Amino acid sequence: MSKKINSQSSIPASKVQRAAKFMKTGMKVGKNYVKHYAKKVVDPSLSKDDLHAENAEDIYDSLSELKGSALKVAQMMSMDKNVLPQAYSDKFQMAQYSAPPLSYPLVVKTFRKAFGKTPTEIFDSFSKNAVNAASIGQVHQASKNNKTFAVKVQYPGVAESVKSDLKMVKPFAVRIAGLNEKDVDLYMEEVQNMLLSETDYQLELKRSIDLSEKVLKVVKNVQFPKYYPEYSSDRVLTMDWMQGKHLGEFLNTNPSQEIRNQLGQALWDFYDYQIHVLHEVHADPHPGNFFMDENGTLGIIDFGCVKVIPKVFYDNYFVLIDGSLLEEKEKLRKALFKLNFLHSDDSESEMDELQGVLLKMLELLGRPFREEEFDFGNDNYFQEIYDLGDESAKVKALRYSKKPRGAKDGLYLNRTYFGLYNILNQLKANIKTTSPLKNKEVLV
Amino acid sequence: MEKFIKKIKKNYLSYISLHKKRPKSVLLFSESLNMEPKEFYQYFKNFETIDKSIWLDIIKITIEKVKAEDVYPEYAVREKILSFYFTLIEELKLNRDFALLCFNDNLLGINLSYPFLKEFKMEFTTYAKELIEEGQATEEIIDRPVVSQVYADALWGQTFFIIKFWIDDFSKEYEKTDAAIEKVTNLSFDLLGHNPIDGAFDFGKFLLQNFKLPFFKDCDFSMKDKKDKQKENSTAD
Repeated sequence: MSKKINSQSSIPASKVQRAAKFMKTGMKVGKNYVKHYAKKVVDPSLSKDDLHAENAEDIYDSLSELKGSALKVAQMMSMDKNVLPQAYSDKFQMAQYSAPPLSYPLVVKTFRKAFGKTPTEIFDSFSKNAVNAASIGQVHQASKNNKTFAVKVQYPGVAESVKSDLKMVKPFAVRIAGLNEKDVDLYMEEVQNMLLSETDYQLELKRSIDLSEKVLKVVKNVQFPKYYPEYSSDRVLTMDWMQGKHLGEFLNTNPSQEIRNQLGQALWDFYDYQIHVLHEVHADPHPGNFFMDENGTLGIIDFGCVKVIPKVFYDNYFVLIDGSLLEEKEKLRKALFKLNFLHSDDSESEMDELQGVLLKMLELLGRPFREEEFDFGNDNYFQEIYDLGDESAKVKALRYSKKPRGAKDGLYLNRTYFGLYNILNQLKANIKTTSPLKNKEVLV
Repeated sequence: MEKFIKKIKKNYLSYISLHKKRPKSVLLFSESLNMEPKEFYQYFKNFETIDKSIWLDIIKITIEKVKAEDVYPEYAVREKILSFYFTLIEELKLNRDFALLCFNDNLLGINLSYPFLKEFKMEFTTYAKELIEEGQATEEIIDRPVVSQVYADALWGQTFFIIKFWIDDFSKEYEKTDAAIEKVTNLSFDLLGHNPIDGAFDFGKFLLQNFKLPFFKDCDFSMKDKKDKQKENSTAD
């Protein structure tokens, strides 16, 4: 067994077992609440943060024992700091690093089924243990004719378990994260579709080749692995082994400000081009998907999670970023209606309250777009975002709303921007931010 | 003779996959093969003996194939058995109709002991013992007093579970069976290897040997003394 990825002593197998796992966690969380309020009687100064931290730990413990979509949801929640209180997201971020490995005999079997040959018959060498785990598969290192490859192999039955897993995550999202059920339903559908498309390696292969070709023509300082259709199938995806380091490791080498800016700019341009020109975006900006080298070249992998942005949604979403709109109450309201943030049966006071929060959010999140240059190393800016996230979670009209707020297409786009901002913040990069609205004539 | 046996099995299997049931009688079946029933009875007593023999063939081919793989010698015992299961399922897939028929007969309560697996089980046990011995040599499997003797039976139980799971599995390409194989084998090898129970047992033993607890006062836990006593007794005889 691989030492890098610790295999779990047991993985909850059947749906029943998985559900039981969740129920156990639910009970623990309930217990934590009782404990919290009991303590509070004695010590009124106790904050909700302690409770959140305790809950997060229990939820994380159970989620980390499940593989596949539960892990994915945990990852996503960890990205979307606005959805969860800080304590939850800190704990969930750890979910990105654990998944039990697939045995080599099963890898051999998967290869036989796909190519009629074993891995060692196809490649000169093939690592028996996985070198890396992803949420729905694992990566092996292989070589042939002095070239090194990364071979991604999918866990069996992942596609089938997506639906039942998401159903089980739902009550958690509803009760624990304090979301309302309608919102969750709307989002779950979107998540489910995206997850199902992620399990389709043929689609990923096609998209990877297609998107990387287009991006390379326009964006500087980025590189993509070459993909190999002849060694890829429904469950296997083969590409070049990427050189370079992941974000954390890279930062330990103390890169210069210049190099960090260059990398940050490459990342920004990569997303800008996809969102505003291609209307198709690599929606999984988590640090494991990027490789950075000392020359300031950014390697990008994993086009499994690609969000296609519908035209109508695009127009309404980015009109919000326009600074001038923030002052025009009526125009803003119209846009919010179109994006499903407001509904015609909302009361006037609800509308005002919601619009107030959203206005703040838009002003804050859209700030980089309204300036020529933006310093993402500014931690105060990020603290402002988190504070606003915590604050908006308390807004009654938002929290107890029985209606979904926000378009489902926004889910992955928001997540993409959060991920992007997050990485840029860690890079402490100073970026020339092109505003989509300034260049609109050019882009459309 | 080999040729006839092969011919009978082949036609028997194709009859089953075509009709989803066994031939009506040996007479009709041998007629369809242009054979005298007498000839048939030379090789097989009845259809049940063919069943047994086919199951035995399946496991023999499986073991042969698994051992022929070039990575097989490099595998740890856990991987060897995983490889065995995956190959077994591949072999079974070729004869799914036959396997379903065998198990469905039993489902109806005609026979609960799965007699068609008798020789299959014997062959498996031999193979399992081979693996267990190897595992004990590399300490992948821990030799424990008393329990060690049932390891092979436990692995048979696991094998039966996997076959039964596959029989009831209607997922695409039997992906769920693949997952089941991984999970159940990982679990069983975690149990066969060093695990917390060993530590607990060891600690308990230590306590018993080092403290004369009042209620164990009269018990004699030292094995050596017992053997010596037996020796004394036998010499006395």
